[in-house]
Amino acid sequence: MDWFLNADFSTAPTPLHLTLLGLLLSFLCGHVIAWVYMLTHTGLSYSRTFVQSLMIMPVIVALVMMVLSNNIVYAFGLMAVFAIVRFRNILRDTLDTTYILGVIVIGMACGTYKFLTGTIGCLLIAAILMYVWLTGFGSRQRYDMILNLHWARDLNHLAELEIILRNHALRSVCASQRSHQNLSGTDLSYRLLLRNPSKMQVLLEEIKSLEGVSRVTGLRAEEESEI
Amino acid sequence: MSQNNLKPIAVPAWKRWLEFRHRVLPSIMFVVVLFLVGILWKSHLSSPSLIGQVQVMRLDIRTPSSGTITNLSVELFQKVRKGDTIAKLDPGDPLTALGSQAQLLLAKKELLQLMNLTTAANAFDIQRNVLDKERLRTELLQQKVNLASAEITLQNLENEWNRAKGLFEEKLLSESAYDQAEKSFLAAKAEVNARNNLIEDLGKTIQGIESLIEGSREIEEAKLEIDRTTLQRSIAKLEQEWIIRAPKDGVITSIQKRAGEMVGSSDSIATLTQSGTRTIIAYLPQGSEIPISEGQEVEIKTRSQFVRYCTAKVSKVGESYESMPDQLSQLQLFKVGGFGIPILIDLPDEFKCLPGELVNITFNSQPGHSETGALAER
Repeated sequence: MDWFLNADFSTAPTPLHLTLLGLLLSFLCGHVIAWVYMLTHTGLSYSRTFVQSLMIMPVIVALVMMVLSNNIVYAFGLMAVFAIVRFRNILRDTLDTTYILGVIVIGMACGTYKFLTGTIGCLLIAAILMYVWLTGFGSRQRYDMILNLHWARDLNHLAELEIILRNHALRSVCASQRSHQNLSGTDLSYRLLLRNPSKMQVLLEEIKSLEGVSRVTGLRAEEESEI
Repeated sequence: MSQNNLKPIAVPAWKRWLEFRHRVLPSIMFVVVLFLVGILWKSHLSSPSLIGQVQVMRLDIRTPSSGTITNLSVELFQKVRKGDTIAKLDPGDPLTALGSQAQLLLAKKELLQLMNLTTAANAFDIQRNVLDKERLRTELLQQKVNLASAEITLQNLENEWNRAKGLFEEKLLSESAYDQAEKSFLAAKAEVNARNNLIEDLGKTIQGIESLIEGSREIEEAKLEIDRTTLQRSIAKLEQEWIIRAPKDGVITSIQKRAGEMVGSSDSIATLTQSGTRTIIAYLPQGSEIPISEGQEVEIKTRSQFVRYCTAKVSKVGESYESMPDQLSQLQLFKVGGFGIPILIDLPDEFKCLPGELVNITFNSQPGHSETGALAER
C-alpha cells in the first residue's frame, strides 16, 4: 500500500487523513449550500446543473488548494490553463465549467507529481459526479407526466378525478386551472409523478371515461424538462 | 362510486429504486459522509499547541593542529563507539611537525634522564649513608679502644691517688703532690665519662643512619615511579595527537573533510550525532497563554502520513526566553516565532522517533493546577 500512499513528490508527506477530511468536508459543505439554494431559490432562473456545481465546486477548489500548496507559480499556471480553455470554448453550462476545472486540477496534480492527491481527487470527483447523476441531485419538481384536460362540470366534483390521479400517481400537483368567461367549464393542467409510467395510456383512458371530461392530453416529461 | 374502491396501481421495482435514489439516497449519503468526517475530525484534527523537535546532540570532531588528513576511517552514517579512530592527521606545517616532534623527543629524553639520574641519585644517597655508617662504626670502635685505654689510665691514676692520699696523711708527701695526683685522677674519670657518652651517641647515630637508608630506598622508589608515569603519560599524549578519536557513541552524520585534504587547527572534519536521545525540545512563544508546568502530561503526535501518538511528560521548563531554531520558528502555527521559553519533554521508551524529527505537541490544559498561572503570567 505504501507505493500508493507515498506517491506525492513533495517536501513533506501528504497527510492522507487530512486530505480526505478536507475533500469530504468540502463536499458536505457544498451539499448543504446546494440544499439551501434549492430550498430558497425563487424565480425562473433555477438550474439543476448549477445546483450540482454548487456541490462539486468546493471539492474541486479544495483539491486546487492542495495541489497549489502555497506555490504561486502553480496558481498562475492554473489560471492560465483555465483561461485558455475558457477563451476557446463557450461553456454555457455551469456543470461543464466544473468538469473543465476538475480535469485541469487533476492534470495539474499529475503535472506537479502529486500523484496520490490527483488520484484521490479524481476518484472522489468522479464518485460525486456519479452520485449527482444517480440521485438526479438538484431537481426540485420531479414529475414524469403533464396532464391537460377540460373539466365541464362543477369543480366540486373534481374528487372523482383526484381519486383516479391518486391511484396512478405518487404525487399530483395542479399546475394550472383556467376558466373562460364565455365558455363553461375549466381547463386543468396537472403535473404527475406516475406510479408506473408505462401505464400512462390506462390513466388517460380512465380520465376520458369520466363524465364531463374532454380534450384530454398527456405529455411525457423526462428529467431534461428541468435544466 | 366504483372508482373509490379502486386500489392504487402497483409501483414497479425500478420505479421504487428510482424514487429511493432521488429522495432517500442524498440524505443517506449526507449522513454517511458526515459520520466519516466526524470520525476523521475527532481522531486526527486536534490542532497542535506547539511544534517540537526530538533533540539532536551533534558534536563537531575537530583537528588538534593543522596538517593533512592521511586516513579517514569513517563513512557517512557509520556507527562509532567512544574512542574509535575517526581520522589520522599528518602535520603539514613543518614548524608544527618539528615542534611536536621536538616536544616528543624532549619528553622522552627527560624520561630517560630522570630514570638514570633518579637511579643514580638514589644509589649515591644510599651508598653515602652506608659509608657514613661504616665511618661511624670505625669511629665507634676507635672510641671504644680509647675508652678502654682511658679506663686503665683511670685505674692507675686512682691507685696513684689512693697511695698519695695515705702518704699525705702520714705527712710523707707534700700537699701539692697530693693535689696533683687528685687532679689527674678526676681528669681521667671525666675523660672516661665523656668517652662513654660519645660511644652512646655514636651508637644512636648509626642506628638512625640504618633506618634512614631503609626509608630513603622506599621513598626514592615511589618518587621514581610517579615521575616515570607522568612522563610516560605526556609522551603518550603527544603521540596520540596524530590520531583523532570519537568522543562519544553515535553516528557520523556529516563529513566535512576527506582523506588528502589540508586542514587548519580546530577545523571540523566530521559531525557525530549522539544516538539514543529521548527528549523533545519545544519553545513556548511570547504571548502564548498555554499553561505549562514540570510533570505535566502532553500528547505527542508525529507529523507523518500515519500519525503515531503517545503521552509524554514535561521534564523541564526554561526560565527565560531563548532564540528558537529557524525550522521551529517558521512552523509555529499561531504565533510568529523568534523567541520562546524552552520546554523539555521526556519521551517514553516505546515511542519510535528519530533524532531531529518534528512532532506536534498538544497540551491538555489543567485548570486549578498550582503552577498553571505562573508561566502564563511570566
